[in-house]
Amino acid sequence: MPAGLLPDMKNSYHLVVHFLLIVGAVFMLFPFLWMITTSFKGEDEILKTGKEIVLLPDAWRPGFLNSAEDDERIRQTEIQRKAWEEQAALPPASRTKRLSKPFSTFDNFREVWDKQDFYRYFLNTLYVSITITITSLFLASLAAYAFSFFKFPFKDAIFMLLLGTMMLPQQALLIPDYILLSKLNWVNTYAALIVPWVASIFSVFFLRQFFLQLPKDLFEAATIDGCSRFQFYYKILLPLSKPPMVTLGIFTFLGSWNSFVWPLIVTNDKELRVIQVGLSYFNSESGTQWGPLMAASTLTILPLVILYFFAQKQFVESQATTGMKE
Amino acid sequence: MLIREQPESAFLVGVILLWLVTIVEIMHDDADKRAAAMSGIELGTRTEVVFWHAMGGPLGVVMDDLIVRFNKEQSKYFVRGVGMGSYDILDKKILASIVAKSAPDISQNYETLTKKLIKAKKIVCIDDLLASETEDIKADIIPVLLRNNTYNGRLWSFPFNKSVPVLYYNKDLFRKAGLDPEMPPRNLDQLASYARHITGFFRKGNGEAAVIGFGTGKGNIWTFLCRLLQFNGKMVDEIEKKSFFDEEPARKALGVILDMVEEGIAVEGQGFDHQNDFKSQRVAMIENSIVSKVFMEAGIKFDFGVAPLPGAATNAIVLSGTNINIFNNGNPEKVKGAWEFVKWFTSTDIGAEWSVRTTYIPVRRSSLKSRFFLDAMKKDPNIAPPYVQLDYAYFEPRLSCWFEIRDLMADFLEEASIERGPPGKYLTKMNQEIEGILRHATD
Repeated sequence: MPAGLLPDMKNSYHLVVHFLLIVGAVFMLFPFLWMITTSFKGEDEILKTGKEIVLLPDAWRPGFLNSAEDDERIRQTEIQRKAWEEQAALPPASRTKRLSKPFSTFDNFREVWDKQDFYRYFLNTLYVSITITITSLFLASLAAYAFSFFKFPFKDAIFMLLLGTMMLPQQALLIPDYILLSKLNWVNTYAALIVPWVASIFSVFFLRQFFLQLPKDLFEAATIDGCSRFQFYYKILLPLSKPPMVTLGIFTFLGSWNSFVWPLIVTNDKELRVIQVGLSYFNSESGTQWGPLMAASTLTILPLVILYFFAQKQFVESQATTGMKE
Repeated sequence: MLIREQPESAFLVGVILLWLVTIVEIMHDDADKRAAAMSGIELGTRTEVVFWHAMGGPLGVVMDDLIVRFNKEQSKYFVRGVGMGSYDILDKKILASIVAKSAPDISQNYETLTKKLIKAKKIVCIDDLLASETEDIKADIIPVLLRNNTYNGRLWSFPFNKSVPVLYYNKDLFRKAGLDPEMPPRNLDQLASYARHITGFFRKGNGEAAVIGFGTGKGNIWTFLCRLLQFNGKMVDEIEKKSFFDEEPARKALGVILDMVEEGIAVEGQGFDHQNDFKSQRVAMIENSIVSKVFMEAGIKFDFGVAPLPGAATNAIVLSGTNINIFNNGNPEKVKGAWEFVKWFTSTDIGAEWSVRTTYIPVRRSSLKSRFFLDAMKKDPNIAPPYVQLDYAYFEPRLSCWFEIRDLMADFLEEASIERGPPGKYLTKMNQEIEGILRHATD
């Protein structure tokens, strides 16, 4: 807040800031709200409300919010439901019409869980993401430690060379990487999903920048006190680096969780497919199954929300501290 | 205690525990699946044939179902279908697998890739496989599909999932607007006049139209090419490396839709928007692939009809979809298995079933006369219209640079649809740039 403001001005300032933040939050949250509420809607409802931006599903919306069109749709659905229930109560031989089962609130989730092996995709993604995140943080912190605290020939040149690899787009590396994995007989294995991603140059760069801000005296003092290089890394450097490590952990986990093209390219068996590949099954050349897609998307982001919930303190802290100078 | 005093360590321990539980669950799931596989069909001594495809959603369900049936009906081969999610990924993976010498035994491919595979000698010539057959399969293949898969007089690929564009129309809205629901528009003039009538009929007091007559995709290349041929136009001359998009037929093909949109009797939507508008009865007629029927049908709560795409000087349409390649991976038994599967899949009865369940064009003419097909047509008259169009169906150029040209066309057609200027403004530049690509193309 700007200094020297009068109390009244301070209040107005807070009011404006909070108003802007609330507007921003609404804009940011709206797609998520739409996704979650759409996952509880039948196709009819999704398409009918496609242009009016009605968030709540028919079943949850108080009647006074309904338009005449909504009332009519709800009435038709109720008629359809009754007809279907009456027909279902009859013995199969006496059923005269082919009626489709009316939509009920959790049908999209049921379809996702039953028609796709979503549970397995979920397990695979969790396994791959956790393995990549932990291994990548460990390797990146070791490399960054070497680049920031040790002296060795061509240190800067090697670092620049590594940074240079960040300029290559993933698309350009897709086919060479696939060939390499194929020669290692890793195609269609967990190794193909994990190993190429455990070394991250971005993470090395990010941590090196943080380590460079730490006083060099710390390293020298620890060495004089008899601390070995690994002890310094483990007992001093890592505890000091929690905020950037958490930030990187979140970035790495998110990147791995959202990875789509690579897992699709290097796996063949459904047992090795990950959650983003599962999502793509609801979207094809001639149409999108919006309800199941939104239900699957809701399930997909749930662990990320939980992760962020647990790590938000460190995440915010890291954003504040990574900008600090020595 | 740990949580309160060292929350970070507690979090790390929690993550590691979750990781271990995940591993145990994966192993458990693998064991369950192995047990389930033992009760079904076992690979045993069968030759495994790997089939990479891009069929997803309801189409993938039909594909998986038929693969399971093939595996049950014989005991020599085991086809393992692997869905790649999209044609783009499939294309990339095929190229990578060729270099890595780990290609599948069968895959779905566009013609441009087939040409590359022929050149690289990576696929088996279908003519060589047909030579040992007693039945004259080739004579039964629908002519345009046969031409589409023949390169320098030899059949190198087998038609697989070819589709055609059609007109979908809402019979209930036709009735309300006083139009005969059994008389959909036959040509582009009628299409405009029907769209004008419907839009006007459903106009509210405030001037807003509750229903728009016609809907299509923004910068729809497929139907643009159909209309180009319908106005007696040409796409490209593959030998002379010349394109014909800066001529009168192309201007008419683009202009006819732009004019309808400008008049307010048609709308262009992004992606599947026009399909969704049709399902929610905001648009009375749309043009789309016949395959969209499979995706739309379940959600349509009104009486709808499918009709051939309205024509102009001719009724020409352009085919879409891929063909099948059988790879030469050095194992004759796998090639035999692959051919057995392709033959079975495209045989008269199975081809008819595949066609009815997915709406793709069957490969064989006999499928169109099969009992399964005729019964299905009796039950659902909307099945017939795509097949009426086969006599005047064409296919897109099979140039290696064709997808590059298509991307370019998409940009220009979209620009035209946003600005709605005179068609020549976009087509002249588009044609120049296409000829630039053609000049540098190797084949």
